[in-house]
Amino acid sequence: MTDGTASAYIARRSDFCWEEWDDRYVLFYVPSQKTHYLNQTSAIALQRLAESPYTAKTLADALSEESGEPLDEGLRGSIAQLLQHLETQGLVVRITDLEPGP
Amino acid sequence: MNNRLDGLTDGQLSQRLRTDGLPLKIGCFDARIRTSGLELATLAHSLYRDYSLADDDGPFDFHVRVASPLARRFTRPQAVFHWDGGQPFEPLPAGLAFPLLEWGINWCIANRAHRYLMLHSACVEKNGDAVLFPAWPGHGKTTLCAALINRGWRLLSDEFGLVRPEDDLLQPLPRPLPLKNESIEVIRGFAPDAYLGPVFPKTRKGDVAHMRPPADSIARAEEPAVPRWLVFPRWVADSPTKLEPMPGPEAFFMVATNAFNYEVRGEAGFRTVTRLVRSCSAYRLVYSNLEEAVDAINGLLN
Repeated sequence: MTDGTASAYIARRSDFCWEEWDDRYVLFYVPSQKTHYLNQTSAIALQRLAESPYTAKTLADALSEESGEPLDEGLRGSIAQLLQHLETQGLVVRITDLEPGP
Repeated sequence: MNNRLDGLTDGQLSQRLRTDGLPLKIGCFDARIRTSGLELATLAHSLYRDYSLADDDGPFDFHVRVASPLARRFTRPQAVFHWDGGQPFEPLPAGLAFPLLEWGINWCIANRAHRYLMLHSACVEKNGDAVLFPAWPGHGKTTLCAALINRGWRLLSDEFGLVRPEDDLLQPLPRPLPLKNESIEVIRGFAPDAYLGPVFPKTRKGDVAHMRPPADSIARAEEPAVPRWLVFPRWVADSPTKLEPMPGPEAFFMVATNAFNYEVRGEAGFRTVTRLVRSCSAYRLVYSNLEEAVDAINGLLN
């Protein structure tokens, strides 16, 4: 069993109904019929994952570049945790296990 | 011919309740109500006098009956609520037959109104615009609603905010208002002309007395209203009155969690709640003084 940091995740855009109020988001996930309340980082991450697959590393890279936040271990760890949380909620699926990086 | 319940005498009403049943229009629902072994006619007459009778031949949205089982009529008599042949609640002492009937009718509505987004909410209207008060039990929504309808607002409902998904209007459902505990005396003092039925002590919700809805609200039960404001009330002892704007996501969360059937309605429920929250101004109301709370709600009109 892996910790998931080397896995790629993806979400299906057509499964989501989004509503945005300022920097907060309400998401209705059609397959589970559940409503989720997301902060801006989670929402942007999920929107990225609905466009193409990301690993924790590539997603952290992308979010760092988009937000201008420095990419460090703290951010990478947070993104890995976020992906696991989104997977637990059923909002993303793991599509493959990749070789662990160096 | 008077098609209202007050066109019947006590004797006629009693007989109909005991035999074929009373066909009653309760907002957008038609119910047939029967009783056996219990005498509820006088109380029903006073609290339901302004309601219209439904067509004798139906169809009915639900059939309800409150009965006292023969075997229990002589020692500790009981009242049992029957709904379309089922018995959803435990029996109560016969003296609580009327509150049991009222809770039972609400329960039937909650089970039969899924075509609406059904909020646990009081709603009142003035000049075509409505305020919804979604709240959990004990937050003071019925008391506030009772106060407002004695100060010129029309009662849509003290319990159900029925949002029509096809046009997002509020469907009225005026019912007797069950005031509880201290609220009974508060409303007696606030609106001495309001008609309140007897106090039923020591129910599961404490002491309960029912307030008769204004006749005008019942007569206009088919006239929907536009939701304009979402106000989430909370009675807090000795608190100053505070009416503060609430952000959209928080209002969304509060509306969705106060809906009886948000999850049943699935994506349609999500869409309806979204439109409701986007079309309304949302506020949090904390109050202890009823006159001040009414003034605060009246202030929304300006």
